[in-house]
Amino acid sequence: MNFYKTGTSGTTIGLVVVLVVIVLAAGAYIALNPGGTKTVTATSTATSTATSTATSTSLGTLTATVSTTATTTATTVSTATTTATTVSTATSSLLPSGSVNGGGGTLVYPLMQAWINTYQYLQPNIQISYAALGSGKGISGITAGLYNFGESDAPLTAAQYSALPSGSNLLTIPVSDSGVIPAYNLPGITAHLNFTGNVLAEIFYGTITNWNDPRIAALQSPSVASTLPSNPIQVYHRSDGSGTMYGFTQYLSDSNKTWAENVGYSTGVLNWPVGVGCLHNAGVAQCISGNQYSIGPLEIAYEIANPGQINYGAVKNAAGHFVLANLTNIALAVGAGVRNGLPSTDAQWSSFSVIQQTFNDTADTQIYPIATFTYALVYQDLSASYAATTQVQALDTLSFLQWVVNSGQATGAYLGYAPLPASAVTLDNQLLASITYNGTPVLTGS
Amino acid sequence: MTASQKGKRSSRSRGDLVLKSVVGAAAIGVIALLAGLGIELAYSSRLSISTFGLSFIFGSTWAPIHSIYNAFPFLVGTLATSGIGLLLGVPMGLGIAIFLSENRRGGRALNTTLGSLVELLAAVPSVIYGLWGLFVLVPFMAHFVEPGLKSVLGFLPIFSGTPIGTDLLTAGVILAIMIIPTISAVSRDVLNAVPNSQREAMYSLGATDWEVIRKSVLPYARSGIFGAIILGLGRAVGETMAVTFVVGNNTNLPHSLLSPGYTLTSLIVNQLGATTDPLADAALVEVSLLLFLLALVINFVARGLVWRMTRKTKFRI
Repeated sequence: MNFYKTGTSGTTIGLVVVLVVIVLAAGAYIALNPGGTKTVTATSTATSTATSTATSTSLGTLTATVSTTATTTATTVSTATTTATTVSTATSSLLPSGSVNGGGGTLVYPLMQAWINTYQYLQPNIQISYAALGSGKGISGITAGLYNFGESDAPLTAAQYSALPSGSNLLTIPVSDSGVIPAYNLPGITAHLNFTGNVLAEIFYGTITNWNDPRIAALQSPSVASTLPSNPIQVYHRSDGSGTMYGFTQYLSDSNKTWAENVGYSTGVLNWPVGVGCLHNAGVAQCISGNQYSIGPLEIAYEIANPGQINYGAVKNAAGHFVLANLTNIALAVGAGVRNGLPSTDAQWSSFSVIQQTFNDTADTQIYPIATFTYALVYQDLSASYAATTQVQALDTLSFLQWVVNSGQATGAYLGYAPLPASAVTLDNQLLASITYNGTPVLTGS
Repeated sequence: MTASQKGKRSSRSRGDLVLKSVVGAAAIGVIALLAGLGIELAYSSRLSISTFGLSFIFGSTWAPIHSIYNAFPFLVGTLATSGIGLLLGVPMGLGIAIFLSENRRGGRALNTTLGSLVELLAAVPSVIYGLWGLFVLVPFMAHFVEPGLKSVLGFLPIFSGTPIGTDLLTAGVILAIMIIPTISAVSRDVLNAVPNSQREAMYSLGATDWEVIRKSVLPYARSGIFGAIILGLGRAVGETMAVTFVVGNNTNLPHSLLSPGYTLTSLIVNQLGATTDPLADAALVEVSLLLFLLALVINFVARGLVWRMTRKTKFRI
């Protein structure tokens, strides 16, 4: 009568069922997806000149090979090329061993991973770690001296500048750039729709509710406008804090007064008037592709990594052209954004954004209007107590950042990040050269 | 008493003393941890508490552009999704537990196998529930369940709105799936512990199986089952990743079960690391404080109810 006595036959059957299910699932996964571990091998031959322009040139090769754990032969899924420049980094000689700790935003996280993997291969003595906890944590971390370098998708606000240690000078160094595309799922329409900032703001605000609204139709060519369906627009956006949404909502705020007054822009959770928030870029992509007649803002990186899976539209720039985003016109946009140099004071940085710089730029006809930088944050005096950095860490950190800004830029292309334009690279190198330890510049020969 | 006997007694009482102090320290340590957590949460959110006061809990405006942070929509979302989770999960979990404890066909092997498989549901990490929910459950709800629900019950205000799949109802369904193993495992143990004399007595009076369960087994195990339900509710209130993927993440006050909502936990996940000013930071900590207090209140209320129910019976969990 003891119902508690466990029968060995019962538990054995249960265990067998579980094991069979796990083996079948693993087998199905391996069979359907022959990509296993990803190993990045880098061979960089330091031949001569040319730093990167908007369309970069390649001098060395970086091959990424994908190999399976089940020993089927490797298939090269993606290759990338990197440039070796004349800026003498310490790739020819090994740096002293040390650890570099960074933390910050998630927009650049896949690229940061690739950079770290490659650089640790080039410099085996250095351990670099990056905590992708968000731009806010990147800024608060560098303020508290937790990181050797911080990373953020937006420059510091005035409040964050005032929270920095007194007497400190935090440098904001663009390390990469990205763009936001309006992705949509419209069955039967393969053409790229045209959008303006104002129309996008009205869609995301809920003022425009159906796809065949005259305000949308007016932007399309007549043949496309007549095929617009009458279905209601299902709006999606990111639910988590993100530099992508910061840039997108900043563009909407600039384009539409109602949006600016009621919603605004932020890296954090916003009160989107309509729509559903999906977690991370992959969540937004899944939400859009899984629901017809939907629209949502996506980072260009996702589209480049998964080409052809999601349709996206062109956005009208200040010059009046409808530009379909790609790495070239995003790089042009950030190049135009820094034409007058980078901001020099904290106050200027707090109000700096590529989107706002190019919002009224009628001269550049090919630029994409929703492009953003992502920045590394480093103290100018790394020997100060608030920087919490040893001399070896200073050298390691700055060597890494210098490599990132110069040679590392080409790595981003296949991951969907536009390379920095030459003007930005020059400005970055100047900033990095100005960083001192105990009075002497850390990097020599740049 | 000889010297050696005296020595043995004092060394044993010293052992007692050591045991009592270690165990006492552990108990006090846990209480101190809980209190410390609450105090730290309250302290870190003092800016938000002083700025918003009670309107943080009862106001519905979340507008970072105006620096207004009110958490009522999130509270409603948490309570609604947990409520649906309980509504759907308790009958299932209890039903499984009753089947496993009362079933006599198939032998012990069937019961223990089924029991192990149900408990395996609890072993699945919650983020996997979230991914499965987003990829499988959301389309299923959006294309089959919710339109069906609307065609039958669409006149009710809680089922108004277009069915999109990522809404409070789907989050409630996922929570129901997640708390079923908790409820069934604990309830099964409780039901197994009901003495067979109870069942035998009812059978000897001519009761049917269902009457035995309903009139003698379940009432006997009432407090234990209630404890199981509260455990399930506690898990549902704190569930984060599974809910964040499917709840819709819209900060507006939800007006129906089919509208996208927000829970306290998914706000914390989405907002963490993304705040840029001290008030937003404090508001985030205050949301955590709210969740902490909600969990405490649920537990205290549950304990109180269980105490009231078992005041007169001898059997208690």
